[in-house]
Amino acid sequence: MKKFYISIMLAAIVIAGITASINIKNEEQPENIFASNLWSDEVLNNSFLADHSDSVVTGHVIKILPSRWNTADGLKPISTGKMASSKEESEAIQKENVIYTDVLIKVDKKIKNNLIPSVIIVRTLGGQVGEEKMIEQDDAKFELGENVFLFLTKEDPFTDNSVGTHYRVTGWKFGKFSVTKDNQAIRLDLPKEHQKIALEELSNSIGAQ
Amino acid sequence: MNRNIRFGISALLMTLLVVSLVQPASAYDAPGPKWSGTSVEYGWDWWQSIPSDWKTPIRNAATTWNAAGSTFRFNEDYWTANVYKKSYGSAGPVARTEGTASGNNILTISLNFNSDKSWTTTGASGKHDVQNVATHEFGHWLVLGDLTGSGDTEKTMYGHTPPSGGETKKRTLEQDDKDGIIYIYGAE
Repeated sequence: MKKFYISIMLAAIVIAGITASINIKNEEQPENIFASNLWSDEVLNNSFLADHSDSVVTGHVIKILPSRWNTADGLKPISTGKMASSKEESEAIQKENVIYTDVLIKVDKKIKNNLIPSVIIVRTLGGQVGEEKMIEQDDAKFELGENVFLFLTKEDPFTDNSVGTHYRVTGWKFGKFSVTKDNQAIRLDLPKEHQKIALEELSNSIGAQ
Repeated sequence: MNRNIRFGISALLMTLLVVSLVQPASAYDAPGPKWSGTSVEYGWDWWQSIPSDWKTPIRNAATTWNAAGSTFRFNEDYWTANVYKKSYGSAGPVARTEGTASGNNILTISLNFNSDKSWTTTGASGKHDVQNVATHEFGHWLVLGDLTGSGDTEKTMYGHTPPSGGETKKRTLEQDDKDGIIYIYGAE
């Protein structure tokens, strides 16, 4: 009988240990960012995208850089717990902390804005830094070597672009097409009627700008 | 023999106990993060980016979800600031919900109206209706995803809104929207 009670006690100690380790594991889990957006259907209109773009190009992905936080040092922001003493300070504190990933694009054809450099940085939301991830369903996704048709803007609500060092895709995922070998421009994550268009038709649809 | 039986029974009981600790008992398994409790607080940006006449439509959006038949509740809280109006560009989203999660638990969340878009509180054409958009975004707070199918256009969680504005049909929930929230948080 004594052995029975000892075995119960030992089992209880083991369970307490397992429970504690589960709790510690939960506390140590990294903090991830998620987001969802509501879109106006105007981003499905290629003329609208062109009108709101600084540049329109075709090109291909030559490099995908490591992801960074939108902080000065690219590392995870540290909350200071400081209260804002002005509207400007409040806006700075409220600025969304995001992880971004820069993609280098070799421009093959300039459709709008002939002054755009031959290699450009396109900044996309989302990525992973250490264990922290940001999942941004609605921004453009790129693969190394991918041929693309892009509507581009220098407007960036998330990271500083005051000197215009990078571009963002106008209308986020809606402004990026993958170009296939048979010159079809494709956006898969959209209603069927907006998924596929001939590259020539797409170029013509926005007109010579 | 009795000793072996006792050991066998205690080992079985302990195994069941460990399994019940590791696997929470639930009738469903909603993927992705969700709230660990059954309520969330919302409140206005302390520097008043939200116009005062927007507050009633946003409260109405919260009340709509509170009446959806689930246990989950939105509560307005003076000390909470997570509803904002900020710039996402004229070709950016109409509104955006952004949150943080640790594991499967949501930690923070915010609703952000795009200040570069035109807004109305009356459903006027050419502008986006605050309550219409807030009801959709509060659905995201409840971890409901965007719907994009041709059969989903009447639902609150349909992820697009017409460029002509004036849409108000997202103000009221369709049965599918209600079923989603009841599925995740349970019926009241």
